[in-house]
Amino acid sequence: MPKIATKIAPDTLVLPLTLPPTPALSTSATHYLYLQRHSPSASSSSTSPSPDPTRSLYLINLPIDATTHSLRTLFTQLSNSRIEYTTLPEPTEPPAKLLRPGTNTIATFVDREGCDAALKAVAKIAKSPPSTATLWPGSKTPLGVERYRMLHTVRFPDVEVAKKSVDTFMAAFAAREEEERKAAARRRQVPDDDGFVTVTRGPKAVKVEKLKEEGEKEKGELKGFYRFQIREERKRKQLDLVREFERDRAEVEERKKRRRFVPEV
Amino acid sequence: MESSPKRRRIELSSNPLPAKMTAPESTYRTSVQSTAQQPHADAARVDPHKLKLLSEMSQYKSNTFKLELDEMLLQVQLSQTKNFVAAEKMLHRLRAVIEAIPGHEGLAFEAAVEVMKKRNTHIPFPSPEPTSEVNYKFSYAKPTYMNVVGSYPTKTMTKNSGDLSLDLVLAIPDGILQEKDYLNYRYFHKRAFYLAVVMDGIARDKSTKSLSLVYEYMNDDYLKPIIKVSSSEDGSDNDFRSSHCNIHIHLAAPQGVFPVHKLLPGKCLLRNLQGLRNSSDITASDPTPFYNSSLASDMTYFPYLKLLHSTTESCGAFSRASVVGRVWLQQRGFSGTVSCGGFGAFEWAILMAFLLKSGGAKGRPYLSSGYSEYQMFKGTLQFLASRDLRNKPFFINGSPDIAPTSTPCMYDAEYGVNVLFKMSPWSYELMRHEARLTVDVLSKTSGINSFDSIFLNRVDHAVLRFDASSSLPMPGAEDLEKYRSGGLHPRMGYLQKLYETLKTGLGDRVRLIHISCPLDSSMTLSGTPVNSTRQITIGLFFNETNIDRKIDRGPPPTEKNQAAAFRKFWGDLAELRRYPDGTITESTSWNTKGGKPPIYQQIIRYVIDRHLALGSGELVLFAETPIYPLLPRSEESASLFREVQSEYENLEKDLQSLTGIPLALRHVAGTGAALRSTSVNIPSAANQSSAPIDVIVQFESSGRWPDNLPAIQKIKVSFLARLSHLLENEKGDDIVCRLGLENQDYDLVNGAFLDVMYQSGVIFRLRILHDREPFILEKMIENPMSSHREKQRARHALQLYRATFELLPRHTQMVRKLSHRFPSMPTTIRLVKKWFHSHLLSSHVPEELIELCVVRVYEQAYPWATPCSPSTAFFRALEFLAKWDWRLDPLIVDLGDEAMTKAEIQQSLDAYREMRRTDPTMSHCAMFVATNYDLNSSLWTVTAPTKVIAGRITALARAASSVLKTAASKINISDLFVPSLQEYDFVLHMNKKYFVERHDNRPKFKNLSIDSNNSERKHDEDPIQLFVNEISDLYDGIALFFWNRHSESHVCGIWTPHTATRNWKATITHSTVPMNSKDVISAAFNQEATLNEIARIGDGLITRIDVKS
Repeated sequence: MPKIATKIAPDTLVLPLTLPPTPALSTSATHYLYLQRHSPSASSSSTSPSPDPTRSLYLINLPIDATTHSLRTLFTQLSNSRIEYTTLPEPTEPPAKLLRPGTNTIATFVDREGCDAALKAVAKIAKSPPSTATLWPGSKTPLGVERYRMLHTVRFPDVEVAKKSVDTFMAAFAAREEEERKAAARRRQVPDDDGFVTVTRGPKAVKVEKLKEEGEKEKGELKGFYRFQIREERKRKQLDLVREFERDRAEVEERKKRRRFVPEV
Repeated sequence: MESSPKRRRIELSSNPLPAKMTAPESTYRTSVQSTAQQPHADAARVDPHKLKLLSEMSQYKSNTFKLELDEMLLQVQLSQTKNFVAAEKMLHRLRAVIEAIPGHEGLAFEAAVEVMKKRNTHIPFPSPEPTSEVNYKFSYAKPTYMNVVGSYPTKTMTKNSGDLSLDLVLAIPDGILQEKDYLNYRYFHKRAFYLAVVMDGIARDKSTKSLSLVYEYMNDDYLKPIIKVSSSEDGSDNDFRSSHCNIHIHLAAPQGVFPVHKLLPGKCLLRNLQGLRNSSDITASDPTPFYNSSLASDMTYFPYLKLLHSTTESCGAFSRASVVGRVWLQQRGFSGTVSCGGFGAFEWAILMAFLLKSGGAKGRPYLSSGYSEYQMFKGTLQFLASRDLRNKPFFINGSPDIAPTSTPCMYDAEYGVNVLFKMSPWSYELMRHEARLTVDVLSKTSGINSFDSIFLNRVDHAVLRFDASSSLPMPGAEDLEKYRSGGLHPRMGYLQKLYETLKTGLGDRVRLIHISCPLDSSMTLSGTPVNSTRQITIGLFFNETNIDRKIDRGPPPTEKNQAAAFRKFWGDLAELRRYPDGTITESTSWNTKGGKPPIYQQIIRYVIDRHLALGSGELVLFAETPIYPLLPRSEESASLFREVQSEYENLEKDLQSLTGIPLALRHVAGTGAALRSTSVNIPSAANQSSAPIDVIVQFESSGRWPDNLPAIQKIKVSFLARLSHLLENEKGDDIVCRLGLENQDYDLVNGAFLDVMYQSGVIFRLRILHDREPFILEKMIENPMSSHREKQRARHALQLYRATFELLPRHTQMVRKLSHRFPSMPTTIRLVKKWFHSHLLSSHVPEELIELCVVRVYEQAYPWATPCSPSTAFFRALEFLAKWDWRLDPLIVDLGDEAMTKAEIQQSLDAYREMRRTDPTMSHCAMFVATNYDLNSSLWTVTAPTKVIAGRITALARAASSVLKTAASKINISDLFVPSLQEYDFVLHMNKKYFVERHDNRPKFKNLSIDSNNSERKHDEDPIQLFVNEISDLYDGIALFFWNRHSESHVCGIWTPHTATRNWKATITHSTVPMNSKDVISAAFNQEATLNEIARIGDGLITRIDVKS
């Protein structure tokens, strides 16, 4: 029987977290959080400034209700280390969006000491008996029926509130539009570095397309006028027939392979 | 343009090639390659040989049909030379044995019985048996000749046709029979003795002793016993198991021994039954058509074998057409036996042979010997469908004077036999019905392939075939004796009486009544009958307009005789009634109050009780268990949704009358299932938990809309807010409005709706259609600057837009139209939806898909007739789901007034193939559905059902369908709706407080209002639904959840294969347990923690979680 590992690799530690029993499920469960020192190469997003590797931890397999707040609580309990920020999305409205299982995050501590202390504490837990497992603090906002009640109020907002939020959005939107329009107008008039003026789409192009279509229509009306056209048309039809026949044959072959021609008994 | 197809046709028809396609395979291949390489080759290069081949196709329905027919014929053909070596040898030995049987001369009845008794061989005298009072003699002499007849010499045997048999005919020598033997069973009694001697001879001979021998009745004809010889199983010479067949020994009467004119169907040949057991000495004069033809047909073995041979010679496609006909008949449950309709492959072949001689206008041939097997097949069916052989008998070789009867007549005057004498009135009706259906489907030019339904599918299961079927027991032999009449077996006489009684009782409520019952079975050498359980099955086709009629009008009392007959038939139920138009007639009235069964069932029960003695305590059983208790308030299905409909009209009016909206209202379109009468629940005040009904509103176009989707969604919010304000101001007494947001983290799609609640309890959910949205999305998809992710999102949004705003209105409109054509369709849809819900598939199967499956059951009902009862249609829908091989076939549903064209169907097929080619693992559109309004994108099924769920649907449907077929008459429909919870990895038991048993209109637990502060918000979103949606999203790829939206007591789940243990990685997307295994660390799925999470997410909603151990 394989045993539960207390360490994945020298630099990847395991932190068991106890999930207390719930009314529906009377047994408690253990969640396993994995910790690594954050190395920028591992999560190389070159554009945004990477969190400081000397005081950041890479936390793997977060519980679905983890938030920056709950992680803060956890590490304060564990080693009195203080997290400055994480890469988790900041909650905007009261009922937090739940994380997908297996979500990872980078937690950056206030100082390097805090970060080291956290790692040390986790390493110590791995050596101590399992009964001393750490309790997962859970999220601050409630789950369950309470949360659905809150989601419901968000989903059906008061008309006035909704209107207000639309108004602010639209004001910002209009400002941005205006800004862009002006910028575009400027671009149209001013040659760029290479001396070209950007050509923007106008109504002309559409007209050309329309003309084209009309031309085709006129041409079509002459079909079947000359003898050679009729002859070609007939030959084309014969070819079509042959092609159709080939297609049908292939289809029947296909069905034959599936033994589809035996009458059901 | 006009002239070219015409000219082609002329070229084709002048083609001298015979109808058979006998292209040497090699030349064919090369020609295929040449075009394959140059698909657009010059027309001059078309292989002339191939054009010839093509020209033959004009003799078939289509290319595919011809190719399919060829393939099927190959499949069913039996290689006769190889398989029957052993049986042939056996035949030779049997001949030798029979040759050696010693004769018996002129034995009186007692002596004859004595001889056979000594030898312990039963004489299979047909009843009524002779007694010592008969004065004719029984003899045996060597048969004049022995010959093999039937489908073996004509080489038309097929596989899969049940028990194969070789038919050996022995000709009774002239001297044994006298001319008068045609009277009063004399021939049949002498024949029985002759057969017993043959039986005895074979059983006693050393070389054939080990064979297993039983008496059977030829085609269930009680007058004509035959011997069935089955292989011994000892590996001796008598072991011909390798041929997989039996040998039947028949007896033929010498040709011309009885004068043909004495055997006309109108004559009575059972005039004096003195000296026969169990028969009174009365003399009768009723015609005995069955007896007469049964007798005459014993003289036709050899002439008809000759006829079939000569026709095979003269008509190239005859034997192929015989096989085609045999398959068609077999799939419909017809065979030559009396109990299976009395019309089998033999009758089919003889009919074709006759039609090649006559049957057309002015006695010209109906079929031409140059026809292809397809044309022969279609022509023969057409003849069966169009000519009523009861009123207009078909005579060949003469035209005797025969009066029309209730049974069909195809009379061969040369031999005095009505070839169709074994057919009953009901089997003939059914045969014509089937012929008509098939002719219709063959004449259709639509591109939907019906080959499978014509030949490959079995269509004779009563529960699927008829609108209602029921079964009742056959009474015992003593009870039946009084139904013996006109030379018919008492059982047949009883069935006739039953048929007539039902026909009078049901009248024009039904279009067709069918009765089937296994008749005679075999007897051993010593006369012990083998197996004799008999159940009569009654099948009905409803006349949809009359089936539920409450009052039947009989004749007026002034017509004395008819009125008396009516009163006699209905007994106490007959009453005189006066109608509003002043007429007074005898009438019967019916009702279904107080949970009584449907009217037609009451009638059947009543008339059987009254007119047919069934013996004590035996009940009529109905296979059609009432379906109504399964659905909420479906007892008056037509009017159910009327309230919703009128409320919708109110909404339209209220919206149109609004003043002060910034843009004028252009269009309102209801798209909710309730508006096409297909929702399981009926929205009403009583039904607190009824779902909102979707409605689309469109305003006049305006240039002031922004060109940006998130902004458009916000504008919609303010539009709806305005609408809400106006509606509440003007109609505040009847209406409560509520603004709602959706898809808030997905700003490319519709983000807001307005719920409008009427006093009646009906809620409409209004969404705004803005027709610029698809253009903006298309631009995003086409824009080369968009990232892959953006394009993906836009594509998804576009699908959603098209489904909600473009397809759904058309779908709704078309389904509504169809339900006028098929009144029982909405109920069926509700039933099938209920079935899906019951099997916990609520969130996996879009309701449009279900509706389309049911539409297909109605629109493409063939091989059956269009169903008229919801239960039959429901069974057929299950059968369809069980059979649909969605991995390899798309579902093409035609719901339009104008049938889909061939080109449209081809387009769908091409789109389907292309989709499977680019997505061979079926990650999308596992079930591909094409319809008139969506030929190639199968929008309803892009994401759901997934492959796994589709497989589950098939498995469930197969289980149901096999139950239906095996336990047909004892089935309890509600059993089909019981889910099994054992298969799931875990089951969440939900808190009663938060769900309503929704099919119950008096909810035991009122849906708990979540927001109790606001009294307006009565109709809250159901928290269990929110919960299931959320966990389904969250654990996508980890677990699959199953629940029933209408009965939320359980949510079940299974873990997906993704959760299997694997090497530890930081990127695993489920909760894991690190495990030490050998030298690596592996990650096992952390089931406990995941269930704990689910329990916390559903805190308060879940009361208990069961985990499969």
